[in-house]
Amino acid sequence: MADRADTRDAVLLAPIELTGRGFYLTVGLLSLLILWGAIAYWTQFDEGLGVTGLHQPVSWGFYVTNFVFFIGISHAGTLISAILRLSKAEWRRPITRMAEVITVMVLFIGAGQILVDLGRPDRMLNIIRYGRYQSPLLWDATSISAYLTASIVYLYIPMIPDIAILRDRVGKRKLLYTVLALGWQGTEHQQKVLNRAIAIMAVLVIPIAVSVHSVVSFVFSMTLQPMWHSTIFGPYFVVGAIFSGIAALIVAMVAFRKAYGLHGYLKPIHFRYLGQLLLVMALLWFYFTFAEYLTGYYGAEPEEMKVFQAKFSGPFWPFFWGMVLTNLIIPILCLVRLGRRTIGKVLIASLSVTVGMWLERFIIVVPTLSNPRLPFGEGIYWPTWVEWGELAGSFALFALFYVLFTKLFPVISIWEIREGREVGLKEVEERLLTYLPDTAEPRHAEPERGW
Amino acid sequence: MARWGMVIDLDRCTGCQACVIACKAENNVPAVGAKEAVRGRIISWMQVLTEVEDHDHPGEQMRFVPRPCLQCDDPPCTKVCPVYATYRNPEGIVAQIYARCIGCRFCMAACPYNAKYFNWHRYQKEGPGQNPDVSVRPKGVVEKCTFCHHRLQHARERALAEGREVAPGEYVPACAEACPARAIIFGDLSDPGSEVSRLAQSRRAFRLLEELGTKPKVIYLTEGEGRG
Amino acid sequence: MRVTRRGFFQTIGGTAGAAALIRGKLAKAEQAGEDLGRWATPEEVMVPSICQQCPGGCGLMVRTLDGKAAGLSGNPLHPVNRGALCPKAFGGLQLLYDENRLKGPMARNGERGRFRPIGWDEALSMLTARLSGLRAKGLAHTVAILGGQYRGSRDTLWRRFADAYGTPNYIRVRCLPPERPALAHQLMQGVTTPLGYDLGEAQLILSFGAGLLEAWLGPVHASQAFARLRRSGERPRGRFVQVDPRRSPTAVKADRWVPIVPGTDGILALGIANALIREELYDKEFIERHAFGFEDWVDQRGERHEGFRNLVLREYGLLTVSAATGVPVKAILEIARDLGTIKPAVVIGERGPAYGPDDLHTRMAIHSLNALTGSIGVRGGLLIQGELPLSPLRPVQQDEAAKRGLEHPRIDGAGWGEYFLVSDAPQALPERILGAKPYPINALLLFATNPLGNHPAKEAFARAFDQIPFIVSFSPFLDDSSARADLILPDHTYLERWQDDQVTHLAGFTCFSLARPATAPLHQTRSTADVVLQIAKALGGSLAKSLPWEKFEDFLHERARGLYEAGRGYVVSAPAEESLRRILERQGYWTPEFKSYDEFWGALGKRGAWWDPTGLPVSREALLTTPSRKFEFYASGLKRRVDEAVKREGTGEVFVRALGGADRGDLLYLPVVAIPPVREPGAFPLRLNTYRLMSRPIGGGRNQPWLLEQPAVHVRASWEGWVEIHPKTASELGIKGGEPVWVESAKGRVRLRAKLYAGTLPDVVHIPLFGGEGANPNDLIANETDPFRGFGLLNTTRVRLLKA
Repeated sequence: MADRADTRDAVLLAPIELTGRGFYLTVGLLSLLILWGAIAYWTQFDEGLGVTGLHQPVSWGFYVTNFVFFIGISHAGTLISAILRLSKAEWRRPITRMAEVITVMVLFIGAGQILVDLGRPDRMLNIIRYGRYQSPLLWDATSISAYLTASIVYLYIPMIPDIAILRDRVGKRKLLYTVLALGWQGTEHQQKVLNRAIAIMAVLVIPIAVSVHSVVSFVFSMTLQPMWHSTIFGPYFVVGAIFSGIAALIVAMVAFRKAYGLHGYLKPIHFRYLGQLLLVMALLWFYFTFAEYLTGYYGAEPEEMKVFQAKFSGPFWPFFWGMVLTNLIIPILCLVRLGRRTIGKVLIASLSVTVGMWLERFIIVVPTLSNPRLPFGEGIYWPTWVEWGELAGSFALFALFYVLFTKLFPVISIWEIREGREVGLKEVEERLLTYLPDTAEPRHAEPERGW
Repeated sequence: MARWGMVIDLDRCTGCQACVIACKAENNVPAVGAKEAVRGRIISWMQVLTEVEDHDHPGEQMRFVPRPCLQCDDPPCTKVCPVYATYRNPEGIVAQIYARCIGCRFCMAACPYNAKYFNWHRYQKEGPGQNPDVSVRPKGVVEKCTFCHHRLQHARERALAEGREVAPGEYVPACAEACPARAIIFGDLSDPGSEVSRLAQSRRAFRLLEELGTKPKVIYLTEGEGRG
Repeated sequence: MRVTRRGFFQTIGGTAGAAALIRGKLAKAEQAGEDLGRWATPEEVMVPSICQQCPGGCGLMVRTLDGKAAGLSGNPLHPVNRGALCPKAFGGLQLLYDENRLKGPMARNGERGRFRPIGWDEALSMLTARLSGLRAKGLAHTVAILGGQYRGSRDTLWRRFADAYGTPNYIRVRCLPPERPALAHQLMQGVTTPLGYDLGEAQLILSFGAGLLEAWLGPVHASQAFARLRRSGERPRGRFVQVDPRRSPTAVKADRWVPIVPGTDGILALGIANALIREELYDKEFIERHAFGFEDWVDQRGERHEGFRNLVLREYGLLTVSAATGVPVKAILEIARDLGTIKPAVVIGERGPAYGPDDLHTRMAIHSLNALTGSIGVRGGLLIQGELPLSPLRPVQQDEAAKRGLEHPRIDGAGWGEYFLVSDAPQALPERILGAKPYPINALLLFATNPLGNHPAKEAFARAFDQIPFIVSFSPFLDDSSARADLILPDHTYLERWQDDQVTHLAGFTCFSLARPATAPLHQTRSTADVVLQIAKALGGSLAKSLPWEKFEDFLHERARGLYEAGRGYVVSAPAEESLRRILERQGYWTPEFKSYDEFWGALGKRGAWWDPTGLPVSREALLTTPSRKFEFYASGLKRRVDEAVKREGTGEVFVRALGGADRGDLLYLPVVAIPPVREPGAFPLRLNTYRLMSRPIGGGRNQPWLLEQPAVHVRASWEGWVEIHPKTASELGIKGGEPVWVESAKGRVRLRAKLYAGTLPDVVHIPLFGGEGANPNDLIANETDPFRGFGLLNTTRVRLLKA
């Protein structure tokens, strides 16, 4: 069994065993961006948040946008993988790991945005010391840490068999792999416990994931501010999160497929399925957006309209219409007919959605603040190099984490692929049979009692 | 227990900003400088807003509205603070603990009156001419109008030493004290005989963004004879 | 060791906190040290003082902690402001603690070389040597003293010094002297002291361009009166009408804003008079009994003169007036009806923008409305300002040198030629110094004035300064003018010195304020009043005898004795006590509160002011001290002054021209303003109107960041100066709000930020004087002569706008 794995899935272990020039180049480039971010943060730490473009009344800008955006991306992973697992979608096998890694990595970045945004990061632990549960920010803290914990567990458990493979196969980092493999031998009992654990986690992680983005939205919707104070913000944010998560996942898949030569594992059909899912989410997202904006517009409360107009035709129109273009029009054009060049089209749509969802978060956070209810005059917000640096650094840090992960662990679950080949095929056939009418002559079933 | 409140008579207010500058002197609020001011970072606990009725023709119809912190009885800002750095004290004054604030600015985003201000930089050090009763805020924290709470403490200490209650008019914030048109009247809303209570019942009385249900303890009297 | 959860997190928090202090300072330890220092409760003393940021003269209470000023509030006892203050007052703290204040006397290295600090002894001996040298050479008159905006004993002292030294050239550089009555009031009513406006008791205020609630006289006093007009107990809400080309904050607060073509206020007043007369709404009783020149009259020689009534009915029909002023006929009628029916009413036409050659007649026309409404000498109308019963000073002793010096005419020509009506003509000064007409100036003393920065003729002043061999400044700051001085003897700021103030234009009472130093001097500065006494002493002889006081405090002590001995008035006290005294006084009992002058003086220093609230001259006759003992529509006083001047100088043309008249006929003495011909726009199609902001103190306040940061509320501005443009005008020129624009006049151009403001006529742009940092509107203002103020005309310049 092990021998066959050696030959067939060697490509999955290659990045761990060998390191090429591309890796160093990527790490170098990312490090430069991270350095920019670090310098930016140092400047901000030293001089205060004044080095950003924030002011009165736009007291939240890029950082909060990034926070919502990254937390949204995190839904890529655990949530999607859990849904696919629970729905027994067999095409999930090469995807789940990548998705789960995104979640864990991006959660760190997302939560970090809040720290970057704090005026007094040195007092961060006041949240624990004096925490007040009435504040949605504390709900966030709770929810995100729960999600992070669950996601790490959910990432780790299905990795155990793979780590055992690494322990046995790879010469490097023996101690690390030995400890992490928890003595995995692949016995039937172990396998059973593992599957059980995965199933439990998959069920557990879904409500947590939904809660995370709901409470992120509550940060806004619990205030009384125009175009924030909305009941659909919870589901709206969750939909947006899954939407952007899928897009981010697709981008990551395309990148690793190319970098690590995973063409054999990530086939056009995977992209096709994900692309269709993305299309569905685009439409769902649009439905929510439409409902939200129509409600505001139709009610035409002056305060709401002020913000609405700022987005629609005021100073924020490029962002608003840019969002519509990148979140709806481009994805539809790319995804409606996925005949040839599936991967290219899906990639374009995904990149577009990634940008679009960032814009969406921006257009939610800033225009409301820049149009206060009382006559202060409109506050125009434009970020400084510090905020751009933080943005670039955050993306780069996320990418770096991801790349480093792939140097330590296989980015595609080896045992699950293997399980797919060995068990899955048979299982699917059996399962399929249970869906179908029995091949034998249809028996006339006795009418059920009571009817 | 007293419920401190303020009545601002817009018919009397001349938009002179005496309240604004008096507040700055009393509470050690610094001028942030030309560069920061252009960026919209002026700190002005008390701020005179100019309501323009016709936006295409500013200046044709105007009204001056001095806006301190409205000291809401149901403040949207305190609810969202994750660390209890801002809270409503038993006498109804919305306080800010500068030493605890983590600078998340959630309260600023939540306050519909934009009455909270942030120290984007360290705008000043301790220096001569400052009021030692009020701490100089460091960078990175939110600050706000406190109804000159330190004056209440002084008045209370004095009253305690003399074995009596705080007398009406003994505790008045700097803005009300300075106002040349006597447009700002301050007092105890729980005392039905006080001037603020009487004026709060006036036909002209209204509250800013009353529909939000924040229950401000700053009550405005509209101009002219009519209703708010 | 037991580790609690809380303790654990505190430890972690502490570690994180320490790690965060990356700069390596042991900030916490330092903090602890500071905290210890704070534990000691400082001694708190409240010291009364007087705000000197504007001519309002509000009473202050300075909160001092261990002798250091740490806060300001209004003196609750002070009758001018009753505890309230305006925003400027608080700037006083920043003025006091301005880091750029001069720390001590400075002199030049060599001929106008670099400044170097010197000691007071050396500085004083330099000045004394120069002054005594000039005096010995018979050149005492070539010493000019320029004084800025201040009142009271410091003025008395300087004047006395000039008289004893022997120079006629003690020249006040300011727009208008508040302690003197307006010329129109002098000529029509014969008053010798300013009028008091009983605004708080009025039911209607009609103001012509006076920034009542901004920078008229005392903004606090006026605002309090305004508040009483609006809401005071039982009375109905009073009405307020503002005539102004610009919707100023005052106009915003008015019930009616009347936009008007700049400079035509007098014509509007005559239109209102026309309506009042035509509709018979004027106070017939007052006019019949107390007015002269209303009806046609015949003089002693039997010549017939046309009266005000017929002239106005004939010449100032409402259509004509409406066409000239841009005010609709309906509005004129409504104002007139308000004025004729709401009593008491008061019409304000004092101060405000200058109207050029028509200034005097415009103000006379406006003041005639007060006569038509019978508002003179009644409660809620115009009252007379009583004079303070200060102890008279012994006459100045003048030696030969002084007498010779005073025989020379004044360098600025005030009281002569076109300036025959004014006491100071700073506008003419630079030109005359440059031309050495009639003699060169050898030494210039600058006290509380900065003509190189704040005067419209600042360029000419700068050239004139170059010609003066010795310039001494007493400014506490290195302002534009001090930077050109040879010697600087910095004064204290007002919180550090002894001083008094004698505010006028109050609502029917007289008031004397006294301030002792609220805080010890922060730097090696000296009160200029003390320095003047020291110089006089050093110069010796008659000067020392004329100014025999050791310190300025002694001088004040001597003068205030008169208040104690007057047998009336009170040192201000708590309202309850005061009302009791007033009740007693009304019944004829006035009892002195103090047994001795020392007691009085002590109380005055502690409470801050003396006032005399009773004995208001509320009677018509008391006001009318004109030649006819009546209110004179036909100003025979003016005729007499012109006739006298003609006799003295032999020609009438110059006076007729100065008065904006055609000849020396009756029209020159009647309150009528000729309707100007329609003017083509020309190269400079817009009119420039400058105005003063509430938030700008004397001198501009560039060292007061609080005020610079929030200068005004009617436009959004901060720090930087601006120009207000009507949106229509702006869109025609393609200018957007917030953009920088060039404002260009025949004299020069300045770059300012455009603020679109519909509260103006489209062909007028408005720039606040001392609006903020950057461009100075004085660079634009054409130096036109103002024979009624002796200052430059600030409102008559024409400009154009260009996108920058």
